Amino acid sequence: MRKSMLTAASCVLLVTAVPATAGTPACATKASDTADVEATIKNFFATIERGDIADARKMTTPGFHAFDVGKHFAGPELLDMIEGAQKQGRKIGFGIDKVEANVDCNFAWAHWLNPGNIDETPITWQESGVLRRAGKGWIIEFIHSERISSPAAK
Amino acid sequence: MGKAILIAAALFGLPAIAQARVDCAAKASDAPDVERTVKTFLTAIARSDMAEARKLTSERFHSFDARTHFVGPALLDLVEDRQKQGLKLEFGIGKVETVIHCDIAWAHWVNEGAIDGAPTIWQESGVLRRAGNGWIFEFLHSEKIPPSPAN
Repeated sequence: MRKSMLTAASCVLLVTAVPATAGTPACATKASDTADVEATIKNFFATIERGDIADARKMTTPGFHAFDVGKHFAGPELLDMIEGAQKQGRKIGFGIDKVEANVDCNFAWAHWLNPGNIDETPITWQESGVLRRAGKGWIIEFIHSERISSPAAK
Repeated sequence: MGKAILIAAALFGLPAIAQARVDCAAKASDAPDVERTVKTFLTAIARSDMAEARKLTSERFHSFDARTHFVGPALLDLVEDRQKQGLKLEFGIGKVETVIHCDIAWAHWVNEGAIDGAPTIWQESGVLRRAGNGWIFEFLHSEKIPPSPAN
């Protein structure tokens, strides 16, 4: 009798507990996550550099926004501005080397230095970002880009 | 045998399930709690209470500030040192926009303050981690921005 009560209690625990677990976000952290986040960031900037803004938009969340040039850009405003500048002939180059990324479940944040140029004038940006896991990859929720004037500031 | 496995599964499985629930226990108060943490952290820095500010950072806290990357407590150490030399910082944080991802949150805000009485505006963002009943900073990105022409 005692055994069967214990078994019944176990069944109740399992049955009631499993749906609660299923309701929490799947936390499938992978060994490749950090490298994947780094690749996403580099790919995003490479896509912007070659003027493929439609492709860059696919790498951002619907609520994407950014701090850039000392301003807050909501939604697609930043990419729209860059696209407009590129259509007027501006050339933007990026040169991201190492991205330091942290992954926590389905969320990641990262920071990096971006030595690049605008119309061949050297510029270095100090940047950070927040990404969300999406399917097998990552998409960008937020970017904070700060232009730093002196390489010595590294 | 089957019963024994079921019992073992229940006994050993429950702690893991309970842990998963705790890890993702987003609360209605999370966004205001994150906002309060941001304001408490910066207020503590402004009044040079670095012991209080350090309590609101994780062990791996780092930051971008003054166009420099500061690792660990280096930023707070530097500010504390400058304040001992007479630096006066004032902060005025408006609305903190917050996004909660389970036990991680990120936020951004504009900080209208002053350095030695000179009006200064910072555009800032941060990543915070849930710690016990509160939140602590993992990362802070602080950028001084020029005042808008209207200012």
